Amino acid sequence: MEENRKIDELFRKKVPLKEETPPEEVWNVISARLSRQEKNRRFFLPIWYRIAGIAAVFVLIFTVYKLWERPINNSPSLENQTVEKNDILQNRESHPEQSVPKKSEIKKEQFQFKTQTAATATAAKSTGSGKAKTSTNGMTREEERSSVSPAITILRAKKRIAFGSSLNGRKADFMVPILPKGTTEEPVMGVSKFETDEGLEEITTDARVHNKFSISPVIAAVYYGNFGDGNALDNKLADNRNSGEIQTAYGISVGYQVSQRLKVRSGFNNISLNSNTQNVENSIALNVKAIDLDPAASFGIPEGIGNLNQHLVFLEIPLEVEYALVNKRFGINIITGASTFFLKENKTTLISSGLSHPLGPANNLNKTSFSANLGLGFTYHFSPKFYFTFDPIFKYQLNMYDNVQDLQPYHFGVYSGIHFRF
Amino acid sequence: MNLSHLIAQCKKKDRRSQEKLYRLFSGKFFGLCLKYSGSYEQAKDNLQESFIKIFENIFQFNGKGSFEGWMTRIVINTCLREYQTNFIFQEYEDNHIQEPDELSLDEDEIPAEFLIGIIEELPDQYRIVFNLYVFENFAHREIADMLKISVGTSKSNLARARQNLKEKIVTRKHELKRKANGGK
Repeated sequence: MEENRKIDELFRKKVPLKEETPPEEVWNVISARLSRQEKNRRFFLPIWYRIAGIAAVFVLIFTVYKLWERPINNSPSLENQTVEKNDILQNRESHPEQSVPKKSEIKKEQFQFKTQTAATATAAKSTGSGKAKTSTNGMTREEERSSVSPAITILRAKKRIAFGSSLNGRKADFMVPILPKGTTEEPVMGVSKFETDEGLEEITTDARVHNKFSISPVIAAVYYGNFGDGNALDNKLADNRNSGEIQTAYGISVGYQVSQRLKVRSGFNNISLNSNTQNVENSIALNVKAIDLDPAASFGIPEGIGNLNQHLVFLEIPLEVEYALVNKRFGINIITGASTFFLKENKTTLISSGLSHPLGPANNLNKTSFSANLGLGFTYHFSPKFYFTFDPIFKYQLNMYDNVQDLQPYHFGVYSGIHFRF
Repeated sequence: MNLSHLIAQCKKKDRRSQEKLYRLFSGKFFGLCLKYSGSYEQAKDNLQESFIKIFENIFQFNGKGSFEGWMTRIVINTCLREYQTNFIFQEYEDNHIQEPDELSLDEDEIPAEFLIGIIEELPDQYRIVFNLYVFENFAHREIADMLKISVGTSKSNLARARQNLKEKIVTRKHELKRKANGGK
């Protein structure tokens, strides 16, 4: 031992600490790489945030526009419009004792109506002297025009429902006839078509047919699991307990209505997946071949036992088909399709003695992978253009890992969002 | 600008501070890279990688311990990565190691250039373990972690390095004696 110490001391004393100035190009390369990394981080990380932000702004603008266009209040703002009445869809009255005109044949008449652009109709009484009249009752056109029809008339002009739309040049969906002179009562307003399930289904169906596109911000809670017996990082850890964590996913969903029941949808999601392998000896964690160990990683890690955590972030682009099993205000859909995943973040961490020690990325993950998706969708329509979705979807990963035995990863997420049709 | 302030600025990714830190330590670390790399070009690459990692991970340095020591370990680990994958360290049992014979070492007789030369002549696995243990003061457990070898292998490679170096010192001493006697 003494000899060993002597040899070591000899070299320590005699061999000088070697210092040498590196060539200037070394700093130039370092500086260029640092600048490139910062530029990439600034570009890639928020790019889809920006896209999501822009889409969210559009949705917000449309929402505000629609709400502003049809103020919800009990004092309807009246506009004078001359419209061509082509069809009378439905008449209702709030007073059953008053006659309710039946669905009439198509008439071409020029009427001048006071129109209402309120989003909902309120019931009011009218003691107008007139009853709902048709041309068959023998009244002249003039008489008809001046008489009060206490019923609500919802016009369906040329088979289009401009629900909540402006009346400028368009057909009105709520129309109230002019009250005769001397009438001080509010015109009769009936129940809006929207407020009945049958009515909403009809309007929603039309909205679905005529407003084929939809867009929605989406958020989800996602659980990551494995059907196989192996471990993603090292099969020596197969016997260690492995558990997934619930993480979040968020993104934008866009859809195209192919037919009344069939819809194709896509979009993009940022999805985080986490899993933990428990009770791993620290020395084993530092020697896992599937981890590209960072040079600084091994320092400061004491002996002991910890948990090996794997954190992955993907950009997901799904392509799915949605078929409506139930097509009413409350709807149920079946969803199937596939997704493409692009790996964005790949970290493994050893959590030991209360401290987190980043180890490095896993080297057995495919940068691009695919999944097969199957799920259900539950929808609730607030209006023909806005609806809420709640979609539990199971996604089986097909090739997330490269050549790993006994691994069948999957994730299960519950995706929800508020959709806007246009 | 003191070192703490420099570190704080580097954490904010201030390029001028990063360059200052580089200029302060690049000489020493390039010397280290030359010691642990296979060639001059490899040493340059290792220096670049080391500083990139230092700047990327500087947020992890929490002020405890020596900052220079923290950076030194990053540099050495970067240089040793090529040996982790390309190297085969022979596994030896400790009982195979022989203690070196007694040697009288007169430091004045042995020039530094000779010692540097015989270190460089060592096989890579002996040289790296010897340098890490003697010059960088790493323990065998740390060396084993860095090189992904066992502690026993680290100890045996050190012992073989010492044996090898000692033999060359003794050989040189005998040659010098022979020359001196032959001249008479």
